[in-house]
Amino acid sequence: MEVLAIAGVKIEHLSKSYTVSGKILPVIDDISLTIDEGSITIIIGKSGCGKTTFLKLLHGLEQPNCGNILLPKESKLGMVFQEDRLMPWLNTWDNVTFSLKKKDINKTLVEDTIKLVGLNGFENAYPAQLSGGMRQRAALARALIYNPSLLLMDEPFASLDYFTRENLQNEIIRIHKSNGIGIVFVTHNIDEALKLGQRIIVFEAGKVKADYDLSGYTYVRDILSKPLIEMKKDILNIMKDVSSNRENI
Amino acid sequence: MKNHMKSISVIAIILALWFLFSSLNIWSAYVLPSPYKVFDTFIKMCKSGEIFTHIWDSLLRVIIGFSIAFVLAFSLGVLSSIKPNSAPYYNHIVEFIRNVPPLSLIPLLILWFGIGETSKIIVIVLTSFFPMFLNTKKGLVSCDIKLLEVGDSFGFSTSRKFFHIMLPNAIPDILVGMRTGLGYSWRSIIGAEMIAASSGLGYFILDAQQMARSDKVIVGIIVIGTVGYCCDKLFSYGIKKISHGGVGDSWS
Repeated sequence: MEVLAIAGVKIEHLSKSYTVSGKILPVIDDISLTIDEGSITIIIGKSGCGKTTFLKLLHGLEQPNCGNILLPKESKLGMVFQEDRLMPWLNTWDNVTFSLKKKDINKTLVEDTIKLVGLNGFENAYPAQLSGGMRQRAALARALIYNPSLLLMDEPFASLDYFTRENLQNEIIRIHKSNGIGIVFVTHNIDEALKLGQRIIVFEAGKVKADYDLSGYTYVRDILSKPLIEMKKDILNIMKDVSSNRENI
Repeated sequence: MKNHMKSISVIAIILALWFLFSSLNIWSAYVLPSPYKVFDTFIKMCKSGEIFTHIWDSLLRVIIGFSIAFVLAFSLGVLSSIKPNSAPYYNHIVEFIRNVPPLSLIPLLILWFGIGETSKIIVIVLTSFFPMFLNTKKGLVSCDIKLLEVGDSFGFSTSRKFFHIMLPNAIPDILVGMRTGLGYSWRSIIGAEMIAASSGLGYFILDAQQMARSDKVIVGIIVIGTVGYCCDKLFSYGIKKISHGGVGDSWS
């Protein structure tokens, strides 16, 4: 991964494959794109299309077979995983400050971050004492306190119920508005993508199938409005087309 | 409270049966001394301080042997989990020693080290080492890769990942190993003291048997069980305290 003085992330001819039972399985296939700094970019696609691998490559948790990821100078990436991945032996406060060294902990900032995700009053609670939504909030706070320039989120609300998910989606928008943090958000939920994204990139079989610009749509969005319903149909058709092409093969 | 009552009722039944059979004089007082006689002997030994000397001698050996075993087991457990390639150097030796009952080494240990403290401490080390080693290794090796990935996502170094993720994650397993190891230590020291010692609870029981003092033998057995039980309870209380006062599932 190279570091350059650019705004946003530039990805050039990125490829990644795994060897499964002696067969080479391409997961990311020659992807080139740029991700704008300070915007919410959604990566959408069905299971197994390479979304999570793309995010891990972006963060450097996995290495590509070929291609480059060019990051802005002094960029810092935070990650929120699909599962909360909180340390079960730490309480909320210690989980949130997990990435920091003791001497770097700013008490006021931690309090503010915990308040931002709505967990004030639960600082001493252990993960086992929190609900699924609260645990995801704690995981979000842990990533935010790391002060990343770009936050990578891998289907963070996939396992949550409708109302908790909606609540957290609104919080993501609020956090983005308040500190302008760039977010790359992976999901397979089209409604979630339309609600959050300033750009939606559709993945299929490790390739970019479509790219939508939603920067003209302000928050809070009505996903039942005509243009967004049209866009949803369009995305669904692309995903269906790819599925039927696959079945025909 | 209900469980306490159940436990007490079983103990009461055993005591009642003991009273009954000893008073019926089916067996001689040598074979089955009465509870009264045993209690009287216990009180006399408490007053003279004899029993406490033996308890302290055994306990001290357990503390020393258990501590040495823990340091060795923890170090080797850490080494085997962070450097799995080192396993061929010690795996076969460890497995060999694991299958040799430590008490079978006593004749050699007496020959080499005499009947002093060393031979008994070695027996404790050999007995309590394995549960602690195997549990430490298991706890460290079975660390969830997803938690380690969290450390990677924050750019943690290998040592920071070890101290902040792997080690705390392994603590419940390490504590279980220590608890098992402590029980093993206690059992093995009594055996070792019965073979080669001039003090301690094992020696005390053997000495009482040779003096035909069954009442003293029973006092010795009750004291061994009680001290072992108290040690285990203290340890489990410590585990509960460390794992956040037993908050639900906070350390599983």
